[in-house]
Amino acid sequence: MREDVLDPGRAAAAGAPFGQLAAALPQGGLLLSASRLVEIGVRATILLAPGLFRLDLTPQEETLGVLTRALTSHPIRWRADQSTWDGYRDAGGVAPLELHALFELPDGPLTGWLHILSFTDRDAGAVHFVAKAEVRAA
Amino acid sequence: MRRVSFRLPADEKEDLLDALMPLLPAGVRERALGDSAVELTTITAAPPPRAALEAAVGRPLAGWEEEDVPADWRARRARFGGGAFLVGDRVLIRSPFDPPADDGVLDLVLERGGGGFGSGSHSTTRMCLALLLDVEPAGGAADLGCGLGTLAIAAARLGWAPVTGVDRMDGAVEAARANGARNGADVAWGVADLEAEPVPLAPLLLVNAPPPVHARVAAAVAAAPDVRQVIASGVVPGELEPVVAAYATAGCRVAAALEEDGWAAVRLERDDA
Repeated sequence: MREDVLDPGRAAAAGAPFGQLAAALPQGGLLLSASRLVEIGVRATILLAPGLFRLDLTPQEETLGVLTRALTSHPIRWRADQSTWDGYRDAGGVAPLELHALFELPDGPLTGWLHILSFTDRDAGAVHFVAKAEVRAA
Repeated sequence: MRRVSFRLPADEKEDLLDALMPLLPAGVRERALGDSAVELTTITAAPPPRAALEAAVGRPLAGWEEEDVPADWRARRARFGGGAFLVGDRVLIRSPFDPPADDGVLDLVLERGGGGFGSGSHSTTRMCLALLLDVEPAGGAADLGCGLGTLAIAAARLGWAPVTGVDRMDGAVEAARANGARNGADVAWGVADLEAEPVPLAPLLLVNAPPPVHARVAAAVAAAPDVRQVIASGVVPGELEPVVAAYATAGCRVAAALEEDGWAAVRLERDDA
């Protein structure tokens, strides 16, 4: 099972419609990356790890809707630092969105680290996301 | 550009989106149709064939509609909306690109700029406005941390006077000033860091700001009996208790409370009100 969900070919094929790239990490694991321009008010898939999770983001003018969708029946635990979910109150600048996951698979746990930067393009009425995920053995 | 819309049962939406989202790279705009259905809309130059989407979910997609739409998002926004927020069926907060409010609804047009906050997309703005709608105008108001000027402009348009709006960000105050003029609101705007500078006071205070600002405002209220009401937000429920306690020390008690999307807002009245 872990081999399946860490297969970069599978992840690249699943994410091809929205331009997701996937590669094997040098020390083992899966690297996903994507760059997307998403219109404000639209929910779009940003990262997709088949058999593990899908990350959808919905940018609004002052908020960001974040949905982590489980694509496995096995337990997943997500956490985000306060700086991530409270970023709008920080007038000093926009911090990256960082999420951490623990995927409790039967043949051993995996960790996930998601890092998302966002840049609002007001003329385009859209937000540019640059995102990556690293999934590896815990 | 093509605009494609269809409906999904609300209780199955997320399961069906597992199959649909990878096929809809432009993403979807969601609109609730009552409690039982959700309309999904995608706009793209090359929408996926209906048959491909129906095969993915294993059923016909109800309410399928397709049409050509302008490529420019402003033109689409003017036709379909998507950036407006109706509060209490009485006030519409919208961007300049959204359709105007219906007759009888106060139409507030806010353009973002200068990093200012208050477009209405955040629940704290909407809750403060909802609480403001509950009270009859009775003198002056001050919007402390005014951002784009939304609450100050709403207060002025609802009949509060004189109205002041301050923020620590120059750019936000510039945007608020422009928004005030755009909405015909008579508001005195100014730049002030409420964590360090004197707090402007008025019979009604609108404070959508972090806890340190509330601490300073509450201390100022304690020495200002002319302050009769405070509408406070910008805090999550876990932060509310010390904020309310600070205002209680200043002689104010909670008259109404709201929670939405993990944020809290309260309207406080002077104890002898």
